[in-house]
Amino acid sequence: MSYMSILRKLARSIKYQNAYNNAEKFGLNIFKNKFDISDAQNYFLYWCAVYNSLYEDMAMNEAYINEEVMNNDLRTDAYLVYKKRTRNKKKDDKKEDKYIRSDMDAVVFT
Amino acid sequence: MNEPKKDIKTMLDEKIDEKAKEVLLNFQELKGIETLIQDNKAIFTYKEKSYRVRMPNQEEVNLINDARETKLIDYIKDSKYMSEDYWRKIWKEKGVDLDLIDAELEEIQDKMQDLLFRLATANLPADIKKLTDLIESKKAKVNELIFKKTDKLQYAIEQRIRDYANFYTCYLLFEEKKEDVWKQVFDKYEDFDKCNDSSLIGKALESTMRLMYSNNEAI
Repeated sequence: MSYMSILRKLARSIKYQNAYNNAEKFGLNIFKNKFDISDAQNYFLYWCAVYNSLYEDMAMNEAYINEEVMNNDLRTDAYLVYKKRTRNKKKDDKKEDKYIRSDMDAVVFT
Repeated sequence: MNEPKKDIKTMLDEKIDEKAKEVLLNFQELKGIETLIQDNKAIFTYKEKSYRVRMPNQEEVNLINDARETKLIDYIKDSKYMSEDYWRKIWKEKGVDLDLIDAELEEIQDKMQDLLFRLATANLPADIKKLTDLIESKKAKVNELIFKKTDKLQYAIEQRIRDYANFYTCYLLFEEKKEDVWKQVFDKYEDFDKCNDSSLIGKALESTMRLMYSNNEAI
């Protein structure tokens, strides 16, 4: 197992997901040090946050995410690409929708 | 009839031993990385001695920056050392276009994003396997191109400075446990530089990279 795989395995573990949630809600420490967060710790926190959002997606029954995908780094990366693209598409659709509506309003008022 | 049975049992025992060793090694690796994350210290054992690499304090950060700057001035002053731009030009004249490699890398990364999107929405195990293999082969190609590029630019001042800063950081933060006290392994950078135990230095460098530059895919 590579360093990166182990880091991600720890980040998605129940132990660190609980620690991450407690740190967010109650300000409890995840690490022994309070300050001087290292690059390694920063990167670990990034993955804790990513997996936290994926657990939320799973709880919301979002498509294409499940335990099997979460335990496979490549398939998790794939889901993250899917999530980013569909989120961007939704944003674009909203923008377009707003533009059409403002157009229609303009027709009504003129 | 009993002999073959015994052989199979021995073989099974050996297989179990191998598996147990693998599980133990994975567990030790996991525990080591957990300590690194928890405590900002990368601890490892080598030839029955305990070593560690820790985070630098502000004074040491200043020392690393000063050492890097001094070395950079030395390289710039010395006409035998050339910049990355110079090496790119030289390699282009010799028929190796590093800009083309950069463009190829970008193209593969874009293709990989498309393949990952397809993998996310794939349902059939056969499709998942096919796409996984395809992505892995693209990753291998990316590594091959990066290796080629790094090899061609290894003598550029920029690369030399990166390497020197990594070595100097490692020298400064590398400690050995002696009678329950952590002490710097090498008194002078020259001693670190001259050390011929490449396995020990390799482990120390790997620990430094993990601690200081964790978002590097290569580590």
